[in-house]
Amino acid sequence: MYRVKEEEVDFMLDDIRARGVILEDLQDNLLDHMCCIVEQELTESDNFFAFYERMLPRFFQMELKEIQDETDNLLTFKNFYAMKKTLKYSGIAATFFALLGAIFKIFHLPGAAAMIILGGLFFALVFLPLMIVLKFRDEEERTDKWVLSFGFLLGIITSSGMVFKLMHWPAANILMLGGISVFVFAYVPIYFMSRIRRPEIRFNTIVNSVLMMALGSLLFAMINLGYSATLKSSFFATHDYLYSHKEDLAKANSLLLQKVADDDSVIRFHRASSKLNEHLEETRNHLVAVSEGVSIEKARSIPFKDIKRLNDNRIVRQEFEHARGPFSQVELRKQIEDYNTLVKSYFPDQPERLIAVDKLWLRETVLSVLLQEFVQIQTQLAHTENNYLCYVQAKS
Amino acid sequence: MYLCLMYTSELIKGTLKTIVLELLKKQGRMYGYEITQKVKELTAGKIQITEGALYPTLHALEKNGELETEKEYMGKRVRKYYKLTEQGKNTATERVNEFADFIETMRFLLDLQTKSGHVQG
Repeated sequence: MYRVKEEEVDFMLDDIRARGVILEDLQDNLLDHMCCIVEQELTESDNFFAFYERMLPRFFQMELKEIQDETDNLLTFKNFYAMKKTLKYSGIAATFFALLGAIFKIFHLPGAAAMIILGGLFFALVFLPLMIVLKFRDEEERTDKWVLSFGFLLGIITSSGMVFKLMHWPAANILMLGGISVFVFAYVPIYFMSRIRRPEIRFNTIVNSVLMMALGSLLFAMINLGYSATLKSSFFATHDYLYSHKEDLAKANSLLLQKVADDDSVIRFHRASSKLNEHLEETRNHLVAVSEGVSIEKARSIPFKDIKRLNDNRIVRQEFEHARGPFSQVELRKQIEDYNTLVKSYFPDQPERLIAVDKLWLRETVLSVLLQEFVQIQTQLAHTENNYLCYVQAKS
Repeated sequence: MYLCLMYTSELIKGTLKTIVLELLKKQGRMYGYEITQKVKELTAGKIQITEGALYPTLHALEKNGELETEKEYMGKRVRKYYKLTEQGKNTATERVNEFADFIETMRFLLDLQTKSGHVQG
């Protein structure tokens, strides 16, 4: 039996490494295997190197690195089929929830947001990441792997942005707009350039690029435009009208009050109205001061339309909805209840005079809507007081 | 692709793990070359496991905890002996039973004669 010499062992080991087998365990296995074959089959008269050249092709079809690649595949992708299955089911789940959520949303049924969010999460956190992993395994072209994975990454960013938007989490706009802008202005050109030179996929590339560009641009335009400017100005106009109406009524009330100031019940009613009115004013100023980062005095003089962060819901949540203390939702509700109790004793057969606290938008809303609600309450206060004063004056 | 000379690769694919596990169950511990030679000997050369298929499978089985290894140093080279873990022993039994059941099903499905092992004319 032939004995493998040390220098031959070194030669084989170097060759195994040079041919791309990097896993040390695998190098040892192959070396031992080759040594065994040499010892079994090589005769003393044979040339070792010539035999080695003849023996080597037994180990592979194209190159020795195949064994390394196959080992990597088995070790890394042992769950390959499970991954493909998960991809399929997460895709179905994402589509199902997003579609059903959209239908629910249209018909204003409960659970719409939860379903859309679930769909978005399946899509952004399961489906797309799996697509990246599988593309890296499947795609043969190196550029394709990177380009397509980049696209999926942008998909993850954009769809996460949409989920963030629905959940009112911070940075939603940056994620959505950033993802779509990069998609339209960077990804589609890269996709196009990397594939257009290959005749076999040229037609597909053109069609896909046009579709992606068109849909991406539409989405970009839709998000970037935001809601209608007419609607926004109409909202401001409503606010201005309510505000000036409230002010006019307040002036009229103070004139009327002078005429009937000797009536105790009038004074009690006026005090209750003023108390709630002032509380609303103070809460408004506090929220504006926090939102704008200015003092209470400064906040008092900032008109509604000049408040910069009217669409902010974080301030509402932190400083009002879930807050404690004098400017909280709880405190406002308590004061409204007190006022209602008094009004009920003055107008026992007119329940419409009470402030319908349950119909107010005091929760899960943005600053503009909350401030609008405040002005509406103040208008109602002034209106009710005006009615009562007129009644007392007419009676006397 | 990797496995044998006599049978089509589609037929053999998926049985390599069963072969390796069962062989190690019977033999105790073996190294790579020994496994290829043993299979060749037992099947009279009908099934020849290639190196390209064997080592990736051995590594995968080891990573899954089915096999454990012992290293022996022979001068400048290292020989890795593989043997079954407890988990591997159970897997071997399961795999063999599953395969036996599969053969039974195929025999019934393809209407093969039990004794001669040939397809009926």
